[in-house]
Amino acid sequence: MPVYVQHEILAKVGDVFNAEALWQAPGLALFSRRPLLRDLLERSPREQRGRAATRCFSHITLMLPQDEVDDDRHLTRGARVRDLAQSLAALHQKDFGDLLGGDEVRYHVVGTEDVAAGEVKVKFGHAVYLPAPGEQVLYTVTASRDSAIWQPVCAVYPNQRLTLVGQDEASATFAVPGWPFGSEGGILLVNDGADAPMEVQVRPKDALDCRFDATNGYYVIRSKRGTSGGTGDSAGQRLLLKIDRAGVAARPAAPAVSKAPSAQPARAPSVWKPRVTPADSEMTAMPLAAMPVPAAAVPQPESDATYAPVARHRITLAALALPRLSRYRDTGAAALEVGLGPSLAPAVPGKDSVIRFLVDDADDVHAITAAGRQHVSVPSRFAPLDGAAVALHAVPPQMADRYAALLAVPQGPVQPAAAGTRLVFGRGMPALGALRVLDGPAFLRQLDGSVAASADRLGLSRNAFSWEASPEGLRIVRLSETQALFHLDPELRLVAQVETATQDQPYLVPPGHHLVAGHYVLRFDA
Amino acid sequence: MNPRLAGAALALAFLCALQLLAVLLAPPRYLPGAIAVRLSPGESVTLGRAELAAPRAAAQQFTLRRDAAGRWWLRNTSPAQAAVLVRPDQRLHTGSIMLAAGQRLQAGATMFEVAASGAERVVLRGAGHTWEYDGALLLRDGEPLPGCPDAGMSARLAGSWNRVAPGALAWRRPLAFGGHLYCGNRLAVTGLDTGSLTLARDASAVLALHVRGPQPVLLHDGARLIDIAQREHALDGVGTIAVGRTRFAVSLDTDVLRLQPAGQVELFAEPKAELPPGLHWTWSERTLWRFPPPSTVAGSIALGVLLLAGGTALRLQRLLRGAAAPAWLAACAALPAAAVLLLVMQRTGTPPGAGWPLLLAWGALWHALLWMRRPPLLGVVAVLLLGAGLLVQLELGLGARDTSWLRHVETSCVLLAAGLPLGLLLLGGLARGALSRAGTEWLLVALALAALAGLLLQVAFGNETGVFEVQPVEFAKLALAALSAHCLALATGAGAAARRGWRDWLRVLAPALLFVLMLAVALVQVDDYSPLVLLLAWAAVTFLAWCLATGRRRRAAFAGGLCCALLGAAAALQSIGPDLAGDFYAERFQVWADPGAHPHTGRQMLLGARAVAEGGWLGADGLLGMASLGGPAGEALRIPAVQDDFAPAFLLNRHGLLGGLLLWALQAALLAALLHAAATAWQASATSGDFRRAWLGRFQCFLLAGGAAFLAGHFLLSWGTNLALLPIMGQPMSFLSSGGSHLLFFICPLLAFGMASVQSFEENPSCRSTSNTKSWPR
Repeated sequence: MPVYVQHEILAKVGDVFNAEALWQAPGLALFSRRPLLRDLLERSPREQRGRAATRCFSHITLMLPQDEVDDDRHLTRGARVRDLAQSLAALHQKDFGDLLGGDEVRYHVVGTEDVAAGEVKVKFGHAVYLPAPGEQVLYTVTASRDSAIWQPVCAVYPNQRLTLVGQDEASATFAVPGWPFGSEGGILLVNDGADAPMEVQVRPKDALDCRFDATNGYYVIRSKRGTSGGTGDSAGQRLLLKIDRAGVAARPAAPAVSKAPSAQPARAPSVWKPRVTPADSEMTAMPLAAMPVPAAAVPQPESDATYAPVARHRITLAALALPRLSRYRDTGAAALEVGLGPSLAPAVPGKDSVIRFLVDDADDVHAITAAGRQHVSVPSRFAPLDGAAVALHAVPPQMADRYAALLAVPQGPVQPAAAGTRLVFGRGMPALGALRVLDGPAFLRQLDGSVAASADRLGLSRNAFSWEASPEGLRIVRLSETQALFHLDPELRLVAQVETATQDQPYLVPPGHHLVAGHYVLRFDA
Repeated sequence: MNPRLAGAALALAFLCALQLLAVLLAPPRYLPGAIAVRLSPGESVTLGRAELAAPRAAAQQFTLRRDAAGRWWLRNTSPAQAAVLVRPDQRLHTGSIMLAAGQRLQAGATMFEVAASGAERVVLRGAGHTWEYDGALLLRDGEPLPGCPDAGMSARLAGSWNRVAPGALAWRRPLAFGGHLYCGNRLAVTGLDTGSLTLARDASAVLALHVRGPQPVLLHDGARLIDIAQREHALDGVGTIAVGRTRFAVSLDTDVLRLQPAGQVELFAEPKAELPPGLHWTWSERTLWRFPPPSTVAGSIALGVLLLAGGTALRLQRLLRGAAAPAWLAACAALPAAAVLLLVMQRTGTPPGAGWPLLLAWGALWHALLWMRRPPLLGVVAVLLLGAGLLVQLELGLGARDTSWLRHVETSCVLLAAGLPLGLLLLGGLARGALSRAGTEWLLVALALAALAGLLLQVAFGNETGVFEVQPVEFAKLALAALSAHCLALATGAGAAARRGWRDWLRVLAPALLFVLMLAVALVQVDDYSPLVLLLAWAAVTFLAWCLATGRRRRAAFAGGLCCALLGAAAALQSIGPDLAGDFYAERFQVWADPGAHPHTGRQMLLGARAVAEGGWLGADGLLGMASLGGPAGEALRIPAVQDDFAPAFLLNRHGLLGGLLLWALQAALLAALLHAAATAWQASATSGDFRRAWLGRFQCFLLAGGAAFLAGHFLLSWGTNLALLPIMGQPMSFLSSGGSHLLFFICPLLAFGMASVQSFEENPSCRSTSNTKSWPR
């Protein structure tokens, strides 16, 4: 495997800002004990024909001791650093002019704690590129171990052809946080210009395997050795690499609502709903001034349909509707956090959670994994485990002022729904209590740091609705005027907001459809 | 064919034709092929220069005698000139003898008794003391003597070392009898000149007494009294007798002793000589086209060279283009191999005729001329100068009165044929940038170390004329020019030269300075001061080149003025020369200032001046030497060292001042071509965008300028010496004189480097503007 990135240390340099001293040794080469920058560049040409070099590297990063760079910044406003870069570029231009072939010589001088005093680390090679001033980023590359926490790896510029990402900066252009494959492997990004798609190759090919996950839009890199029974550290490890084109929306198909309204809500925040018998601890928080949803044509079920034999009816918690906490600001709610356990069932967020989702008081949705916490956009999909997919769906526009996202729960709890009985769903109600997974402490944190007793107080009335399972569907009756109820189809698209559902005219939710009440998205299966 | 090549080819063909004519027109010469001495038992005969045809033998060199038993005896009758008797296991000077315990030695007025004599030491008793000598240190009564007041630094160091060093590591120094001073290894003997009697270890590490000079040294061996230098030696088992530079192969019949002369043998215009009775010469005619079958050793060495050079040529072949490249590479390998074959044959005593080396030299000259499709001026002029030099040496050899003179031209031809193609082959790679800087540095350091080793050998074993027939100074000059060129190329390479401190300069120039220092010390040690003048010229020109290259015009003008002032001062010295007093060198100045007042020491200068005057404008024959091609060299041969220092005098005598002016113009053109190449190299380096190319250009510039400086120094000193503008310095004229080391170790590499450099400019695209014709070896 060719050396894509050369890392060398120039030791025992008297003055790290002296370009001549870094460039070449005075006197005979026989008497110079160590190679300097020019010798390194001479020994490692970019291209050669036979033994004669035909092109040389022209982008060089110099890493100086941080203290020296800091002192220079304090004392001379960085003049010596600039001077060093300019002098080296001039020397480079003079000594390798014939081998540059029109390339621009670029030097970048940075300070780093990794080099000792009197040492200078240089980095150059096929996969080292320094952008021109004002050059716009073409791609941004991020990596994740769990598809939730995407950590930035590097940016790729239009003229940056090769980029090698790997374990650390000693062997690669950029280090990938949490690189699981050891030092010998690397991922080579080949950028043949803005018109051609970025090419991703793994090195060595017999050790790593790279596949593009089209549904999720990222590359999945796995260690081949792990699957073939290897016992190395990298056995069974995987890495997700996402390459986003800058200047273009990462997902053209994604609705633009994911982020825009959250930061600055247009409407007034929520207040406590005034009630006849106010009891602070028992009050339900409701968003104010719910947007009047235009009455949609609610499909009425056929009245003369033939009844099928009694089926087994059940109600499943299909998703969690993550509320906009900004609407509940006055309640002091600071963050709502839901964890998905190893079986991807919703659970109290904790160490055994595979992935956790958090909505903060700015309505931003964050994913939290062992790798850290990161703001995620909606919609998005996650694969925290191999073969497991967690989807964060966008909220239909009519619901957007209440909800930030819909978190699909793949393994949500299920409760049977006995036909013919009318039961009440609501905060504190026993019926379907197992589905109200957020009814407990540790889900909702207050601004003052305390933990609320139950997250159900956000948007779920004590008597939200009553329901009765029937073969046609779930007949629901509003019990609370302020309780917002939404009817979603099997694909979680909004069918209608349930405005009127009286005892006489119950609202029918067909089998397979969803009903949203509070932060619960319930699916009725018949 | 372009006009320059046509003109150059015509000129070279003319020179070759002149040489061929000289060979063809040379009158027949005869020499004794064998000398038979027929003696009856009891008879004796004395042989000398005339009877032996040995120019360096005394008039009565030795006496041959047969005793009553019929054995042959030789007694050297000329103590000043010893004969050497060579047996398969021994090489005995007639003036050398091994001492034995109990003998008494009478040297001058002093009698020494040999108390002990062995392989380790000799103990003598005499002059009131006991003298013990072990080949290195003389002890008087067990104590070493104080150092001599006139001893040089090396002698003092060697003496001090010998006092502490164990016997095996001691520095061998002879014990000299004579003089009036007990000091060092000198033992004062009244009535005996210092140096005429020495005790030293000979080549076979045996302690032996050596007598030189006419003063008799007697040895009492029991009742017998022997004059050491003139004692009799039995000729049983003697294979060769050497007198001067003439060697006689000895074969003994019962009553006939046959001597077969070789080496320096006198030549006769007719096969006639007056000989004493009992002596008979078998005449043979000198042949220039003799080719004895080469020995196996010579053949295998030549084959080895052929394979080596052929391998190198094949390795470099990929660098060459053109359909005829293989043929040229084959010539590169074949010419040196043939030259080495001839060289080994010469050295092993079966020399081929002078025509063969001449043919080889022609091959080398044409090879060099046609090396590039468009021969550079440098190559053309150099080839013509070499051809002219060979012509002059050939005329000297053909016109001489003995066979040894042709050896000079033969050696020159052979070394030229070996050195020039090899140099072109090896340095051709350099022109194409095949050699890395680090590799060059290793090579330069190796060259410098080799040169220093040679100088060390010269200091230890040689004298100012060299060591083992090689003059290490010539090689040192080349190494110095190359090493300092590299150092200067590095020093001028860094852009911010102005910001350099003296430490940086010292670090860059230290190797060159160190080398100059050691070279100067070595030259002073061997009492060879004239190369120091050359070094001075080189240093001045190099400094000048550096000033010009780095834009220091004021300093350049100052340095140039200083050089001119120095030359002027040298000329002014002539007027005050007679008033100088002091040692050997002051005497040289006195001779130079007024040679007429020093008829003996000024003989070289007087004869040279006479030869020049005799030549006039058109040469001694009035036809620029055309009429006397191949003819006798006449009086000019009597100039001492006419083949070396005074070759220009011979040239002026033979070909006149016009010929001299032509040569002078060629030399000036050569220097100009070298300097032009240097300037081109500097410009190429200045415009180059590759630091390796730039370094190569600077290296070429300074090396070519330095080489030109040395050549100019040689020309200047030689013309100055011959025209009595300067005191005699003993430096050969480059290209003209027969200096083997100078030719092989300096001229050939320099020319090859210069031609390779010119070739590199033409192949380098950055210099395309100067020449749009591509050239490459065909």
